[in-house]
Order: sequence, then C-alpha cells, then structure tokens
Amino acid sequence: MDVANLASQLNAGAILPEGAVILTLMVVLIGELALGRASAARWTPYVAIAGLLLSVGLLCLQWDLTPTLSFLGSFNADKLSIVLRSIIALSTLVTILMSIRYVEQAGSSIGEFMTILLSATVGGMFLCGAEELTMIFVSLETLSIASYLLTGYMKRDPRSNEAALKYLLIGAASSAVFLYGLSLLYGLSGGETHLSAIANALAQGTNHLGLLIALVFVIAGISFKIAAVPFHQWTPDVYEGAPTPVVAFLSVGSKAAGFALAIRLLTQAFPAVVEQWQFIFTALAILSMVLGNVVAIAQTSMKRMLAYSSIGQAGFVMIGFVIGTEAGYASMIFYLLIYLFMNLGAFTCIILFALRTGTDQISEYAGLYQKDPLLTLALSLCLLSLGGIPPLAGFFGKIYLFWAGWQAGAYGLVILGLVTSVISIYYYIRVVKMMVVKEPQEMSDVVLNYPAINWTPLGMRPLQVGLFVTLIATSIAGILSNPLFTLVNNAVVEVPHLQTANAAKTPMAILPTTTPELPAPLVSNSDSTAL
Amino acid sequence: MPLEFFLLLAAALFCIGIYGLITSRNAVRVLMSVELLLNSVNINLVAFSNFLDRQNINGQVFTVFVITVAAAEAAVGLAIILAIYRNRDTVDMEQFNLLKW
Amino acid sequence: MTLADGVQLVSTLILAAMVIGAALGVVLFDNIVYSAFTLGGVFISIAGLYILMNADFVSAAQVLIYVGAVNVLILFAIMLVNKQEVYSPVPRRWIRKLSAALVSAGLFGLLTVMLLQTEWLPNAAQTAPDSTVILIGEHFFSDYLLPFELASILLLMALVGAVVIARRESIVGEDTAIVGEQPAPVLELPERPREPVA
Repeated sequence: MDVANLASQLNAGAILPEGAVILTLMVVLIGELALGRASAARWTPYVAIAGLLLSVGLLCLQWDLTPTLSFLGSFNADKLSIVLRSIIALSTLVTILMSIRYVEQAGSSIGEFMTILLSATVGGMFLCGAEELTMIFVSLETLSIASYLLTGYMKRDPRSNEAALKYLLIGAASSAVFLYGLSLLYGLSGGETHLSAIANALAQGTNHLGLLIALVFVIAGISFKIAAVPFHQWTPDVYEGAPTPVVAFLSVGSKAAGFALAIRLLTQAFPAVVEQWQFIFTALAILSMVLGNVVAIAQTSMKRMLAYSSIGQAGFVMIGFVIGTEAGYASMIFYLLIYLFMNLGAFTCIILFALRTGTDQISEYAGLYQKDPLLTLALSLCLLSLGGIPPLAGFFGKIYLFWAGWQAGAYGLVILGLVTSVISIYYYIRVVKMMVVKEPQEMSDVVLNYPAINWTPLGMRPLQVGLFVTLIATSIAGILSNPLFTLVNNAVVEVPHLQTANAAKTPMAILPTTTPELPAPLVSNSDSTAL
Repeated sequence: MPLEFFLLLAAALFCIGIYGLITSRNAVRVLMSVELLLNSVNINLVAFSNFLDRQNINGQVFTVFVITVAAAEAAVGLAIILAIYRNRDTVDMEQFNLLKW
Repeated sequence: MTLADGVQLVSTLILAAMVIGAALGVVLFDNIVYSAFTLGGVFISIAGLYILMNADFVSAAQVLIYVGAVNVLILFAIMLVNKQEVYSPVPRRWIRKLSAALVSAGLFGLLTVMLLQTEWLPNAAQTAPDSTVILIGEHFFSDYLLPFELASILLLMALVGAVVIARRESIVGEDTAIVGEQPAPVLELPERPREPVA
C-alpha cells in the first residue's frame, strides 16, 4: 500500500469540522503561551467561538455529500453523525459564551480552560461518528478525561476537587467495565473491530450468554455517560461541585455524545439481541424518569435540581431510543436539539444570578422579578420549556417523543412519561412562582441587595448574547419545529443500521430465544433498497 | 495453554480489581484498582489476538491504545488526588462527604 | 511434549500465579507502599505473559509505560501525599467488605461460566507474523490512523490539564476578580458553600 494510494482511500475531508476545532485548540494554547495570560481573556474565547462556528459551517456543507466511510472504516460521516456533531459543537459554543465571565471572575486562566473544553468537544464529535472499537474507546476517553479535568478546574475549592475525584474514579471504573465488554465483543466476533463486521460475525454465532454479558458491560459504560439511573450517582455531586459552565456542557454535549454512542454501538453491533437491550433500556428509562423527577422536587440548590431534572430528561429521550422505530430515533434527536437550547439557557441564567449574588439556592430567587425582569423572564421561559408547557420548544419535543412512543405501542412508557412530566412541571413552576409572585417584602436578602445591572465588565456581553440566543431559540424553535423535524428525519432515514435494528425486531418478537434466520446485512440491504 | 486459561486469568484479575474498587479507602489505591481492571482487559485483548486473530493482531493494536489512555488517566487522576490532598489534607475516601453521595 | 512446550507451560503457570498473588497484594495490603510495589509485580508478570502470547511489542510497551511511567507516578503520588493516616474506623465496614467479596466472587463465577460455555473459534492455522512491530506500525498508519492521531490530542490535553490541576498556584489576576462589590475568592466556585468546610 503506497502513500498516494492510501491518501486517496482515507477520505480525510470527512473530518474537516473536527480539524477546525483541533486547529482552534492549538491556536488558543500556543497563542496564550506566546502573548501572555493577561491579554488571553480578551481574545481566546472569540477565537474558540470562531473556530466552532467554522466547524458548524463545515458540517452544514457536508450535509449534501454522500456519506462514505473515511479512514478505512474508522469514521462514518453520515447525516446522523452530522446532526449529533453539530449539537455537540453548538453546546460548546454556548458554553463558551457563558463561561468567559465565570472563569474570569474565578480568577483562573481562560486559555487552558478553552483548550480542555475544545478537546472534550473533539472527543465528543469523533465519538458521534466512530465506527470501530478502538476509535470509540479513544474518543470516549478524550471526552471523559477532559470532563474530569474541567470538573476539577476550580482547584482551590474542596467541592470542585471532590466532585472531580468522584467523577474520575467512577468514570474510570465504568470505562474499564465498558472496555471489558468491548474486548468480549472482539473475541466473540473472532477478531473483528469494525462494528458492521462484528455484527456479521455475531449473527452466525450461537454464543448467547457471552453476547449478553458483553451487552450488559457495554450498557453500563453508556449509561454512566448519559447518567441513567442506577448509574447516575455521580451526577448530583458533579453538578454541584463542578463550575457551572462545565455542568452545562456535561448536561448537554457529553450527554448527546453518550446517546450517539448508544445509537451507533447498540443498533449496529447488537442486532442479535435487540429485544434484550431494548428491555434493559426500558428499565433504565422508567427508573430515570421516576427517580430523576421525584427527587428533583426535594432539592434546594438550583444546580442540584437541574442535575436531577437532567436525569429525568434523559429518561424521556430514552423513550425514543427503546421503541426502535425511525420516528423514535428522529424524535430523540429532535429532543436533544431542543434540549440543547432550553437547558443551556437555564444554565446561562443561573450563572448570571450566581455571578451577581454568589448563590444558587432556590429560595434566594424570591422576588427577583422586581429587580431583574429580563433574567426572570429568561429563566422562566427556559424552565417552562423544560417542563413542556406549550407553545415553547420543549412542548413540541415532548409531543413528538410521546407520539412516536404511542405509535410504536409503548403505551405504558408514554403514560409514565406524561405523569412524570406533570411532576416535573410542579418543580419548575415552583421556581417561577418564587421569582414572580412574591411580594416585595418577601424578597430574599440577596435579591434585596441585588447589584445594579451592568453589562460592561469583561465577558458580560457574550453572556448576554448567549442569553438572548438561547431564549430566542427556546421560544421560536417550537413554532419553527417543522423544518427542524424534517432535518432530523432526513438524518435518520438514510442510516441503514437503524432500519436493521427495526427489521430484526420483528422476528425476534415471535421467537424471542432464537436468533433471527436472516443474517443482519441481508435485512439491511433489502431495506435500504426498499427505501 | 488453551485460550480459556488466559481468559479466566483476566476474569480473576478483573474481579480482584472490582473488589479493590469497592473496599479501598485510600484514593490512590482506588486508582491502582482501576489499573488492575484495565490490565485484565489488556490480557483479554492480547489473548484473543493471539488465538483468534493472528494475521491482523488488531487486539495488540487495541492494547497499545489502552496502555496510552491508561497512562493519561493515571496522570490526571494523580493530579486530582494531589489537588484534593492540598485542600483537605487527607486521601481517605470516607472523608470525602462534602457532597452527598 | 517437547522441552520448549514444557518450559512454556511452567513459566505461564508461574507468571499467572504471580499476577493473581500480586494483584491480591495490591488490594489487601494495609500499607499503600507495599501495594504500589506489588502493582509493579502485576505489571511485570503481565509483560511476561504477553511474550508467551507472541506479543513482544506490547510487552515492551507494558514494561516501559506501566512499570516505567504509571507505577513510578503512583509511587511519586504516595510520597507527595505522604502522611501516616490512621483511618477512623467506620461502623459496620466489614459488611461492606464481605458484600464486595461476594459481589466479586459472584461476578467471577458468572464470567467463568460464560467463558467456558462460549465456543471460541481458535484459529491455529494462521501463523504468527514474523515481526509484530512492523505489523503494528502498519496498522497505526493505515486503518488505525485516526485513533492514533486522536490519541495525540488526548495526551496533549491530559498533559496540559494535569499540570493545570497539580501545580501550586501563583495567583494571576487576583485584583481583577470582583463579584458585585466584594472581592471574590480566587479559584473557587462563585456559589457559596452551603456549610463551611472543616
């Protein structure tokens, strides 16, 4: 294999968006060293934002290209991965907008913060298209190790240290378990590392127990990443101890990467045990929805409440995943897209409040409306959207999810989802009520001493921009949901293995204990030609 | 030696690692247990590579990546342990209860 | 059985016993320094097993990275956090130890059943490659190119991050940090702790 021949086979153009992010990362890191820390805060965030915008732009340009495997099968730049990679890049972008002032105020260096955050983004973006076990592992670890570092970034604060240590130890253990599952997959398939080749090899085998254990180990790793109950124990601690912009990234970007991994790995490598993984994920979805939403009621800290609510939200997203229909996958990605804006909007508001008052207790928000109507409005809209109140974006996201679930006959899950979203509305409304309804004499002390609103200090303008962007997206996306939904539908329709998972499900339902007679690739071929 | 011997060895090492993970009070020891887990995965991969995939040795390549990542993870882990030791003056896992589990 | 086979068998058994014994030492020794040295024993024995499984490059990497870097790093960390700690006893800790032992034993039983029940497809017909170094190098620069390059980003980020977290801070920009009116604590979360830290 000579070099020229190899270069033409690599199809390296598919990773141009990631290349843009990597280039930005280098510029930020070296530029900060060369020009000094003092001036870094003034330009590094904007370079990072420009790089991410470029990356999203390149992703848009790739939309119409025919998806081909690049890097000899390591990376798959299909439309599904393009949508998910854009979600991750956008979540980093909004996170940077809200983090400039926060990091500046905490007195730490922003250049290194950006470097680590951008490497996390690169890891997450590669994970969305990873098609091969080694690639999955390396990109997953890039994302995870960067997340541990970001969590511990406020190193003088014992809470941040502790959160980082717990996250690292639980995360490293879960990725080791995940890796053991991957090694079993490698062995069971007789030495294959590409997902499609593994699926082919496993379709002929009869090693049911081994496959099941590999499945359980792999799911343990994925559930840690998406914080599904009972693998959620790290979430409240990390969310409380980590710097708030990092929490925002973990709750959206990292979670989207986890779902991307779940979609690709489970639907592609485990077609032989579709029933089983859908069963496990149904259980995880039920537990997450119930526990996340019920425990959130009892929280007194805003960050901790959003931690539990994000567990519950992950449960809703899992409904779309377990039903295994095309509409299910599409609604799931649609919800992730909506969730990006409303959750990041909520976090922007919390950061703004924390920066002005130095607290995140829910009770301290009492009477905020009198002092800061804009912040109150933004936070209320984001929280109501998270709760699913029409006509905000979150409502349409949930409607699509539940509609897809109902169509697929998952009545129990949908009803449970409805009940738990009513519960979630209760605790979101409680915050809104706290802010709006309280009389002036019931105001909390910090709100009484609320500083004059001042957008001029370094980093406040980007925060303002982030606030408005997320706010507008949250209010408008619901009305403009049709083009968005067409977009995610297109993304899902053209991915053959999502149809495979579907087709394999039908024979499995009739004969749950035997593997389907048709080998998986045959099914996928016939399906894709039918389309 | 059959393949199963090495796989059982790896499984035993994995379970010892899990035991250490749950019971250790010293954060450094927890990190060592994680290294044991990763090494058991490596034994698995090299064994599969030697018995099932001699031509391509994908497993050995995978192992090299695992070793790389494990080194990075250990460095980051020890940095975090150092930071928490400076603030809290202890590495006892039972003392880290500032945040409720 | 030829002499070579016999030597191989015996050395495999000895190395396997060393792996298990040393790993038990890692989790069971009270003194953390002993644990760190037995961990080195685990790593070296595993490197020996790799040679017996025709993986010479991986074996060298194991010695260089695990023994040379990771283990030394762990020893350094033990020295840096060098305080004779008398752990305050926690009530009913033995229950946790016992349940952990039961969980591990159960997991081992499950894995054993699975590993023995599964029909692996040994491919003895294939011959081992002449040189694994060349083969692994070819893999790195052909089908594993992307993870190989991504690993460089990972290492860079881990390097930068570990330095940022571990270095003793000479505080930058302390005068610029302002929350509302009062100066903010540097490198701490702007949200106040709910209860003061002991």
